Amino acid sequence: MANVLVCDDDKEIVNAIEIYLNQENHQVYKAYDGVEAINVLKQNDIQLIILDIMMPILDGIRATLKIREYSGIPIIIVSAKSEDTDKILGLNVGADDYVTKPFNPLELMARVKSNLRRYMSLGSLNIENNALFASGGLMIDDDKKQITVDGEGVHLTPIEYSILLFLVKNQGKVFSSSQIYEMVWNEEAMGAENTVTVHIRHIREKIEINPKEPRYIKVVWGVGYKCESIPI
Amino acid sequence: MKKKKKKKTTVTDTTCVTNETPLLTSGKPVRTWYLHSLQRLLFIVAIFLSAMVIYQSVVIIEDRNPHYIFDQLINDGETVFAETKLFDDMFRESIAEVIEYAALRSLFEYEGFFDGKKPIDITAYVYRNQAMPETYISATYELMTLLKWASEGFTFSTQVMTPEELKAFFNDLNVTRNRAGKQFYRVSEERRSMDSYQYNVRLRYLDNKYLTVDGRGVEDFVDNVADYISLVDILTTAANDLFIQYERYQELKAVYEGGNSNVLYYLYITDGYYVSSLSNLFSFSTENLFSNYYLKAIYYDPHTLEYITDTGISERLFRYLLEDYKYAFAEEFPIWIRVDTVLYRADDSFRHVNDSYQAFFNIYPDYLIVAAICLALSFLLLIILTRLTGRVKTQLPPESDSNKKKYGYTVKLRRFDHFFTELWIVMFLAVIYVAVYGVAQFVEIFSRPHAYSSLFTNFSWLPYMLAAYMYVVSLFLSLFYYSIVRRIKARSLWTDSILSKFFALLSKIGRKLRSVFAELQRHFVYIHDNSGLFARYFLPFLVIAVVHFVLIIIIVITSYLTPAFAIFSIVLLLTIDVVCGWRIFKAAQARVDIIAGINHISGGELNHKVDTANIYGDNLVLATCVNQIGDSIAAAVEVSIRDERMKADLVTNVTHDIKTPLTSLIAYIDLIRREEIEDEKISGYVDVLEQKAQRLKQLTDDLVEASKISSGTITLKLEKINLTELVNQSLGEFADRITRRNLQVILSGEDDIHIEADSRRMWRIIENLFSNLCKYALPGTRVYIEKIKKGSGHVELVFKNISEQTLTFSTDELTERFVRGDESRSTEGSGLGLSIAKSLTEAQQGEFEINTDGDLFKVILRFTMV
Repeated sequence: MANVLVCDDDKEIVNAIEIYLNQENHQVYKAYDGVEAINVLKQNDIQLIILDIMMPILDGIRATLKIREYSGIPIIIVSAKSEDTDKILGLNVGADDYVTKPFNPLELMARVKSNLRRYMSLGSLNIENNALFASGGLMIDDDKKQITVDGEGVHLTPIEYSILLFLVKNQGKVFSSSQIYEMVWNEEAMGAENTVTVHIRHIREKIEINPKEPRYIKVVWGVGYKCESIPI
Repeated sequence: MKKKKKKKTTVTDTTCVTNETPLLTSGKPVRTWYLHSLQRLLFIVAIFLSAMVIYQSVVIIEDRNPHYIFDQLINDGETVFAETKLFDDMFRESIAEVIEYAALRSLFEYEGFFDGKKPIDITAYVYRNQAMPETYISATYELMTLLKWASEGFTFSTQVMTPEELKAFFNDLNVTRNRAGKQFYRVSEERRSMDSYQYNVRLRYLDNKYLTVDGRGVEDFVDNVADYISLVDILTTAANDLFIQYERYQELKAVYEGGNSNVLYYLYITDGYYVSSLSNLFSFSTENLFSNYYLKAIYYDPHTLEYITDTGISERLFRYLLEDYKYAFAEEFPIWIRVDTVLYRADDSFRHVNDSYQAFFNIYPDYLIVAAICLALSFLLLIILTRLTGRVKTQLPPESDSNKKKYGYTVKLRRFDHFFTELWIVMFLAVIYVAVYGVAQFVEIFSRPHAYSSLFTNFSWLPYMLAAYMYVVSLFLSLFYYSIVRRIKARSLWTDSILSKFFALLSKIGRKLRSVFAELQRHFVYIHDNSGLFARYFLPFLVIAVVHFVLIIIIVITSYLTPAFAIFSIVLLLTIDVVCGWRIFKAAQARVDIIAGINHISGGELNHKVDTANIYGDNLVLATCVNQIGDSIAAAVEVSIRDERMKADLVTNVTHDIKTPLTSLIAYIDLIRREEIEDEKISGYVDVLEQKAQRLKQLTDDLVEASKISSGTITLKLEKINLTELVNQSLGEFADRITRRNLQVILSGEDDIHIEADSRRMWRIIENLFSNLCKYALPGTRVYIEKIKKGSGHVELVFKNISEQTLTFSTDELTERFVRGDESRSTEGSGLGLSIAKSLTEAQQGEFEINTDGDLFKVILRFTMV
């Protein structure tokens, strides 16, 4: 399906990722340091890069910076550095995604898929439709009552659908569980907030790749929930 | 040229570098002697021209205060002499003189010529300006004889006469007793007989050569002594007055006859009988009296009282001038007086003053403009020279990027620039004073020229003298001025002054004294510090007590005898007391400072220092020790913090290294699982592998977090969070696991509880607690979560559950790292959960408490409410 460059100084990890990617019918190019990765990138038509940070010769952060000088292809950083500051740095220099080691291989595959879809279908969406709501790869077609994440359909229960629609319509705003309850159920929340929180966890499990690190429906602990406002 | 020479000789003088850049080569001083000369020349020219203007402005007229054209110019802006007040004043005097002259002519002349034979009625003459006495005796003399007698002087002889002789002398002498009261003739008394006295009279008898026109003597006109004496008086007065008037007549005649004066007149005089015209004009036509050509005139007709003039002389003034001599003027004829203001033919004071006016207004504007320009140029040059003076062109070190030679300036001082500054300033001020004095003297001379007329016969060379004087003064002025300027530039004004030398000496002495004093103090302190406890504390007290005792005794004894000494002793006593009290106070203060320092350090402020500057003796030792304790603790704390950090870093690095192989492990285990193993045994092994790999992953994450918290490297993002919302969200997250364990959660407490905390860390705490719950709670039991508001503004979040296992460990152990509820460690979990929760709680200023009661497991979180 796509040409993916995997770059890590640990050959076993590269091999393992290759196996998974092959199973998804992707063509895999391998590199073991930053310089090699850039060379491979220049010589081949690559659609996505999986990049480690701690590598000899040229590390992942600097490699990302170099690649971003001329290319906008998706870069997923895979690193043992799990601090918030590390993630922020990686995303700020131009990476599209950040996965910490040790990772679940399936999660990585899901992220690869998600990034590829977004990269491939960039700008092909019709957002003229008034009943269409979106945040990043999350799309709600209110006419058809359809939800897609990175182009893939997701099935939600009616209550879950209502909650998600409400949050996506009010992107960026934080709502407490009782507020959400009152808006969706249209009745006063009398100790029924638990229901909302459980529903939201279910929504997350359905639309997020890693529910503990959600991209769309974020938990603001002690305050409420919000849908992140991400450009399409 | 003098300046130039000086410069050449002083090139080798001490150089004072004021530029910041060091000089490489020192060049020649900037040559400015020609500028100096030019500047001085311009200055002198300005002075000279100003002086000339002042000189020209002064009009000196004999017997008159000097007149200043400048004043006139400033007061009324008049530039024509004839329009000035001075002119009016002079004209007024001339009018007075002309009137006087006319009167004199009427007295001495007959038909225009001097008439010596003119008979003079002496009494009428003496009373010419006043009413005649009712009865009077008069005699008539010839004018010439009167003048002659007056110039020679009258001669008298003194005769003593008896009344009989007097009677014979005056033919019919009436000597009465009541008239005898007059001293002039009763001069002596002689006793004639027993009852009669004879009154002798001493008479001042005029020689009998003074004869009237008809050849009679004075005694022929009178019949008594009183009349005789009064007539003689009148005669001498008349003669003398006539003589004075005659001299005046001569004097005025020289001025107002024959074209000697610019004052022209035409008038008529009378001697009582005849009227004659009087004029110093050669030709005269009354039609021209007030033609435009003849200006500055006075016309007065006594008959019609018509008064016309174009001068500043008022009619009133003119009549006043005329008053004394009115008798000499014919009442029917006019008086006409004017000044020849057109030609000033005669060489008199009018012409002189007019000449002065013209001379002044010829030069005045030009001179002043030139003087102003010269002065301005001179000041400009002064400013330029002030900048240039002392400059020496100096090559600066070339800059690294260019090879061009750069030049700068340094200031060179001459040898005499190092003399004492004060001396120089005094000299400078003295020269300024001399200059001002010279100018003031110049002005003074012109303000009172008559006072100096004995010194100066001709004032015209005074401006030259002033210029020369100012030239000499300016030489000295520039000498001192430029020297001071150079000193300021070289910043040696202060360093070369007597005061600075004096201060240097003073501070040297001060230092010496201080070092001696410090030495003494050191010795004293040494003795004090090295003596025994008794000597240190009891001995001083004893000495003071003894001194008090002695002094009190002295006071008691001497208070009657010498009160002064007693008072002195009291003062001494008080002084000692105050000094001792002050020392005790200072020691107490030091102690308070030390206690405060100890408090600070014990309160955790380890870098606090007690100021030991003014502490002595034992207190100093104490303070130093306190400071050292603080230092030691601070150092220890620093070391321990550093160690914790290092530990945290080590843990982080190790976990990074663990994570990479763990990644492969997890990936490959998953790959094995995908191979669809049929052997259940192997499938079970893979399950174990996966489980353990996941636990390893959890362990590494917790390890990093725990070490970070304990090393204090986490940063908190405090915000207001709703505790109820947090619990609800957590319940949502754990709903499935709780259901799976068949647990029932019972929530209680108020909803509206807010605390200030880091929301992600709070989630971590709650997550750990829930996770714990799910792991260790007895399935099928109820779990209580309570939110309790405490009175002191605190809130408690209590988790209560029944433990599945017997709680055999102490509560403290639970929050230790790697302690777990089951000793077998078979279940999932790192054993760090509660430890992390406790650390995070405490990091957010909360309290974390675990209670056990049988199987009841209770966790209490305590936070401050917002």
